[in-house]
Amino acid sequence: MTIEDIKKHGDIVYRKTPLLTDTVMHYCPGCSHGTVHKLIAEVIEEMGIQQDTIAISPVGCSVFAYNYLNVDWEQAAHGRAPALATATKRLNPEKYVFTYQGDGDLASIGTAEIIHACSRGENIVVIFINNGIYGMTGGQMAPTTLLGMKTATTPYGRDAKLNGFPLVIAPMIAQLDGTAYITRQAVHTAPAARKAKAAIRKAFEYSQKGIGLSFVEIVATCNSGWKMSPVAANKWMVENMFPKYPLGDIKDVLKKE
Amino acid sequence: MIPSGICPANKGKTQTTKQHNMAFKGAIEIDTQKCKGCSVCIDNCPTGSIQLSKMVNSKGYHYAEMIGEACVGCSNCGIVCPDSVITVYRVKI
Amino acid sequence: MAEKILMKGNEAIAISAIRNGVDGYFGYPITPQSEVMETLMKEKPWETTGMTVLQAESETSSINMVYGGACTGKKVMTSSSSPGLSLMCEGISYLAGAELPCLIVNVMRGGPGLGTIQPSQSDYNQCVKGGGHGDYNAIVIAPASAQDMYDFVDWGFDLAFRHRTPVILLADGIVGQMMEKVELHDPKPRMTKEEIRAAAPWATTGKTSDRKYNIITSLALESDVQEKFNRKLQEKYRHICETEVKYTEYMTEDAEYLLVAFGCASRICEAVVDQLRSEGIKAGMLRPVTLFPFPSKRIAELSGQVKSMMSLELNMGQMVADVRLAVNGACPVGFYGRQGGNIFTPDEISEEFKKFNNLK
Repeated sequence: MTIEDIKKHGDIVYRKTPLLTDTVMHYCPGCSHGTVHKLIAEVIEEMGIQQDTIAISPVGCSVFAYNYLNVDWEQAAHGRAPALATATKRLNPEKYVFTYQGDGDLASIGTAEIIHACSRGENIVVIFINNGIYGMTGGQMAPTTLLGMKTATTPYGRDAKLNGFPLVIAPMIAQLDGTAYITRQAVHTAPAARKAKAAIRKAFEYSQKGIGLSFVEIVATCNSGWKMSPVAANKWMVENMFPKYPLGDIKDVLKKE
Repeated sequence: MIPSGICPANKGKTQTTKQHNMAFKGAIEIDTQKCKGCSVCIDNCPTGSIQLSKMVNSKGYHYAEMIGEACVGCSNCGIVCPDSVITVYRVKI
Repeated sequence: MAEKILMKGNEAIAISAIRNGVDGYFGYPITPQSEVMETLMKEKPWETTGMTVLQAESETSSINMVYGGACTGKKVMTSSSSPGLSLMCEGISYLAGAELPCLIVNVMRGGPGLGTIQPSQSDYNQCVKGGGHGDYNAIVIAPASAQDMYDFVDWGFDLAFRHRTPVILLADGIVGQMMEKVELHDPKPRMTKEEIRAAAPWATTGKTSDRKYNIITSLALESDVQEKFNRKLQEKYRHICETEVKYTEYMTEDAEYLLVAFGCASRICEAVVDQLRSEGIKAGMLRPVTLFPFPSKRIAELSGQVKSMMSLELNMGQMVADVRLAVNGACPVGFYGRQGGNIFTPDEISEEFKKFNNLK
């Protein structure tokens, strides 16, 4: 059986979801954003909720997420996505409302908005991309930047005395009564991406149960900002980011002990 | 039309780097114009069935291409592809 | 007979919002307007009209909640006072940039900084000239009574949806705190989902198969796209200036002197006109009801009729600049103002007016 025969007679077992538009993504080669966008799109497609989904994009590289996912989008000011999502969901409780935010957006300028959305128990989904750097502005230090990590504003490596410590968001908001599901995932390998997709699906499902906010952190790479090849960046992430930001569920209020 | 990702230079050649004895045979098609050559698919392919082409696309990227006949259609490449340019086919044998 | 109730201006805003089919209110407490949210919470409109009321964690958040709600085509509003408005300026710029309708109530207090909780009109420049970044204007309407507070909510939303723009209801601590009789009009229901889809086809109501997906954004990285958008915005503002100007006049037919005042100051100036007339001085008053668009045309006309104009404001001289622009040198333009919560009396204005015009 030739390759052409397989294509002709075989089943399509994987293809680009129609929930993604045909626009070529502006992201750098190997950027995790594209993979996460795709997983969200696949979840929306599989759940059949395209017309019931309202997405909110942040400021940062993923501001243009609205060019790639075929759902209605609101573009928020830097850090304010959870405030938009709060009103969008409260005024349209039947909709699935999610924000897509980077670490600069969510963990720095938008800490008040995310913490209070969590605390109020808004029935929304938050996708949090943690790559430890500001991508769009040219690779400056983010609140989640690791100690010793070199960025444009920590050229000699992040120093706790000078720059403070990395901010670990997920366990912090897990303490808030308004959160239902908090998990940390990655998309660098196929098994990891499949798990991340399952987590995103769970978050979307939870958001309609009226039990509070669901939060999916994706530990991600910014290979341009980190100045590495995509494959090397994935390896660096496993070796350096995962010890500080370990993968796995942090909170699940519906999980039976 | 989506251009085929099969490099004519490799057609008919057998890739023997990794042999897998599975009940599936697979093939992938890559939208080479949209591929950015990040190589994450290559890193995730269990059968060594993908490589970067010596050719470049209109954006100047060495795009990914399928090589050999070891592909089992596992879809790993598809799910990790940030640009969603890979379609995976599979047949039971 | 319509119902008449004695209430504060701030309460009138809240009652009007419920009765005029507003979908959502998002606010943060600040003196002197906290009664707006307090009244809404007490009335529990979510049990009657289904209106959402939420206390946000900051004005930054409440204006962005307004942004989120407005994206979905709903009638949403917030209220605050001067320092809170400063925090909201980012959001208002985004609302203008994304062309979203909403109502923002500013019950002004004295500034700068933490200033005073006493009434003032010192946010004229902030609200009328923009406040946030970029080439934008919000429509600004200025109530002078509790009845205005009630009526302007519905009018504000009409303007906001007609022009897809944020509307600022620029009140002050006096109008907000003052109790007056308010006539309640027949209630209006909230818009249905179908009505919203028809009235706001641009809104994020969920992508259906009959349309492309909607994006609400103010981002335009390409120079030409951004410039084109700004030209379109300016065209909209020009249209607003041509169609929506509103003002009232008092004794201007034969006036030789004109007082210009907005909001609560205009009510004091009415008494000044009466007083001056009783002394044989032919004074009149123009009250701009819309501050943007400003009644420049009418003021320019009157500048050919009167010997002088005087702008009376509870600030250090802000609207007077727009009066001078409209007059364009055709007659002298004076100013008198008080700040810090101090309010001028008719006698005080009368004296300043005579001083300016060399009248005895």
